Amino acid sequence: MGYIPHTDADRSEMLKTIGVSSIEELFHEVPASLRVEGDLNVPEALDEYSLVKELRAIGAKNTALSSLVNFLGAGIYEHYVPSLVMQLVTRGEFLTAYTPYQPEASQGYLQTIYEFQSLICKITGMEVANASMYDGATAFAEACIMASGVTNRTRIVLSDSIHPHYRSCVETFSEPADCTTSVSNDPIADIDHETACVAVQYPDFFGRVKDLKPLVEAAHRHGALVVVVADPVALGVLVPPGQLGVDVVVGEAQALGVPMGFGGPLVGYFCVKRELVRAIPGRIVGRTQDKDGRRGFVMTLRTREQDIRREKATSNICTNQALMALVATIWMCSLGKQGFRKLSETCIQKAHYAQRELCRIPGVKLLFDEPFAYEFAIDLGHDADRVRDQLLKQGILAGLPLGEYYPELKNSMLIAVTEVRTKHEIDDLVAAVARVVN
Amino acid sequence: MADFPLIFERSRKGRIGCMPPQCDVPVSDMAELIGNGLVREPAELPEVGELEVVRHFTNLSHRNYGIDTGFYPLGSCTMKYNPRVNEAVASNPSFALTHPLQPVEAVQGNLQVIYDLQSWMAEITGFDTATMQPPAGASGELLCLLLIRAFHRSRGEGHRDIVLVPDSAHGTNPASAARAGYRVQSVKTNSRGGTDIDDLKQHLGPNVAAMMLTNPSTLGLFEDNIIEICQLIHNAGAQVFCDGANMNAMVGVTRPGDHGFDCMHLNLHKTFSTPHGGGGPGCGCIAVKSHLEPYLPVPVVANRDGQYILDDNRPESVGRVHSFYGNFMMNVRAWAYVRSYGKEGLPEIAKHAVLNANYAQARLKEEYPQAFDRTCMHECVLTAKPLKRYGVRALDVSKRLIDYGFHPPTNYFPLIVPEALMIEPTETETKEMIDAFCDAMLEIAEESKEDPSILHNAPHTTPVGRLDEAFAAKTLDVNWSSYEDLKKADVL
Amino acid sequence: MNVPKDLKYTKSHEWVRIEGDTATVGITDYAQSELGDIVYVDLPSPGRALIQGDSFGTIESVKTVSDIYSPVKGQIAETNTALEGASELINQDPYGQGWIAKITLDEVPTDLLDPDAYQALLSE
Repeated sequence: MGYIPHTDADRSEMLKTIGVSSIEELFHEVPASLRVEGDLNVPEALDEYSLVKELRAIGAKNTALSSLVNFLGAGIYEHYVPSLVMQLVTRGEFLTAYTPYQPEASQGYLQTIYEFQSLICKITGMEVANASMYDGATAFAEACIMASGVTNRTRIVLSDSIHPHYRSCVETFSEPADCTTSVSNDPIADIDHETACVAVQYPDFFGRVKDLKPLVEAAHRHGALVVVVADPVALGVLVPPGQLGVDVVVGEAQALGVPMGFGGPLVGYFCVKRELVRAIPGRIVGRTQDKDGRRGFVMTLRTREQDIRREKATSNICTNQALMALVATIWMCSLGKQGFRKLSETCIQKAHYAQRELCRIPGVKLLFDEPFAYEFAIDLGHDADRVRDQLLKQGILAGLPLGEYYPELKNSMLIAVTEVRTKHEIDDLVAAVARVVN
Repeated sequence: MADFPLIFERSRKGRIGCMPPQCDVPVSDMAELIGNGLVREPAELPEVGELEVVRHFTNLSHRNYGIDTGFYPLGSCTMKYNPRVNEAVASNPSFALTHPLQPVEAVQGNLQVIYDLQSWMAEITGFDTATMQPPAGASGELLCLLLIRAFHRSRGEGHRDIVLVPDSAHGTNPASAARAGYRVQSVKTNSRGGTDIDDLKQHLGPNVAAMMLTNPSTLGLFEDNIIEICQLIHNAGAQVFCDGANMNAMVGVTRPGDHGFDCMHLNLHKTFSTPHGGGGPGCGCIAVKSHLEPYLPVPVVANRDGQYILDDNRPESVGRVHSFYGNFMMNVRAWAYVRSYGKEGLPEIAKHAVLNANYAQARLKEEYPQAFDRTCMHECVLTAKPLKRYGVRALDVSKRLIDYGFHPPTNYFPLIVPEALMIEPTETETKEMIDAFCDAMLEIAEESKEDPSILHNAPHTTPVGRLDEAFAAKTLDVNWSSYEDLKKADVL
Repeated sequence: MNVPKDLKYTKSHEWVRIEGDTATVGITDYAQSELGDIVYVDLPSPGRALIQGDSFGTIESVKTVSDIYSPVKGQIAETNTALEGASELINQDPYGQGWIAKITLDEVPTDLLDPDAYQALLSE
């Protein structure tokens, strides 16, 4: 049954060695009143063939992006993934390993994590990256809580153009840490001497790109840290936050080859200046050597972590998203310096082409007249929910109607254009929008 | 032997790897598009060809041990077989290529998977409802405590600021309690390896918010006074959280909800076989009694008139705990796993996990005595203390096991057991495999007596020997750029 | 274990050398050997006021972190900055170059352990 290999002979020999007459006897310490009687209310077993069929039928109730032309982003993006990525990641030695507690038997994984940390540092311009976090939103919450600990202050200033889900996570997790959050549309003006950190998104939720320098100067003048939520694909072209004096850079690395998977598992990244390394949450891998001087890798600064430091740990996180970080690592290596730059540039070029063409439609205009990377918000002059639904009927997923998050923007839609969209598909989008709004 | 190269050391200027789709739209100057002074130099990613990437990571995989490689009795981690059909169904584009912000009508299949699974998890654990939101076990623990905190506050008892944790608990428990804003107090373990009820009574009082209890305990023992313990805690006005790390001992046999717990977390990557992936993604789930239901994180997957919805309108919710809905693709795998066993098969998991652990314990206890002389559940906690007189520690035994082709058990945990070796075979291992492992353990005990240096220098068969952890912590080279800098500065 | 005769000790394994109104504090040979390779020392800023039993810093080895408790009441006068880049000095020379802090005494403590009492504690 299932995946249990025991034969009757195995069971009786094992029971004999243990010195009991039945498996039942091994549960003698469980009070009789607590034993499950009869079957659980769970469906009956399916053989493998039927199982696959059943889940295929359930999957068919979804409209997957394989049958749509997709312009929806808002934190999760559709990108090119070289075929080799998934083929390598699903190797059993990676897939079925656990945390590399025994470094001699885990050099493969440990090295990939060191490479992940290094690659993320190259992209963000930061000095230290950890082995990864659950996702962008929780990495961001951890960053704000860390800033509070480091500065011994409790006020967290959040720009209102940070992803609304990310802001919610900060609120959920920082409140028990005695922090208060202040959401502001002018974060620079909101910094004071009680501020632990000021946080912005780069590019922001609406895709806009703003120079971080004035923010960094203002924050540091007040002794506050700067936390930036950055999109790694945009950082293929944008000046990295690490070059601008930012203290903490976090974000979602799903775009680096991880399937959208209905939003999970994702992979958050977490970077700091070197001086903050002892305050960071999560695992970190460092280089070392064995007694013969051979290079090797180990988890290091382990005393920050929950299994050693217990209630004084820098976080309660145990796992990282090792497998997803491995996806991102292989993805970054496959594209390499040139491919990654090209991909990032192509997203930006295609997004600007789409925006220009859309804004030729009478009544359609860019919501903010500011530079953006590969995602932008447009005002359609019509209810965006309705426009989205109309376009879905034509096989186009046009973007995210913003009214749900910003009620005053119910006519606006957030549109992401990545390298996988063709000119032809963009032209189709433009034609379809034109038909719906006119 | 030369060091295994880093991908950066394989890089050659100008070499091109995989290329993205071409840019088929009219292009503009980048600085004009995104603003002057905001365009960077290209990030220094490695420049390697496709075949080099394939070989690099294939060879790295050879330097790593997984369940697919061999026996992995890492106690407390439930390293059971990760069925390949689960991977196959999860790679279906119908699931993998869905976006979390698609309209709910377009993702009814996904929501059904979540809804089914949360119903089954509530049933299997004996609670009223469950959510798949937490992305890992630790996140589930913290979430349960946030629910408990909201519950106490709603009753005007927000002053309760203490969480009790057994001295045998995983470090995550006190760490999560601290994250939820609580002070932690430790409760002793009694001479049978259970919770010391007298000590518990000493700690209970008007400021206690909750106790976090692992059942079976981290010592692999069933908490046979659990009914009384839960009653004592409830009488003091506090809540009881069950750490579900050890659910593999109970699935289908006994349910924490029936024991008296108010809430629990599960690690789907343990009991429900989603792959550990080298230390993540985990996948959490929490199951709660109805009095905690109003505080569940948003959004809640519900079924209204046959239509699945994402319910955000929950005024008492603790808020959002993940970017979207947790590690959904792991839910697809766990769904497949539950259906592979079905109601008739699920109890066999716990029964065979317990059988295997007791068998290993029976075979080993002469040389490696039990921490507590009792029937164990899904894992046994033994001690290597008798080998100390030969200068051999639990760590040495573990390192030597690698030479025999096995992944070592968990060492030095629980903290209250000296020289602990925590062995969890899981139900998916054959008798022959457990025998081979026990034979190796017994042989190592002999080696300790004859020539302990074999153990001190182990492992002998791995690409690197024992690594200098102090060197790593002092140099803190955690990033290739810094490695280059450190070399330049002549630190290395 | 080396327990110098000219020092005083605490149950939490600190040593104290009192000269005039200054106490020099470190951790004992036993403490460093239990901790193993010390990789980092977190030291307080001078000027900080301490009462007896206050934790005023931490010592980190690969597997554990332990607090350093003040054996005396007073103010931090100086810390051993050499430890910042060379925490191994505590392992190599716990009673000499591995000293941790000098504290200006508010009062001379009377309840410290003498070497024999500390040695007895270690033999328990």
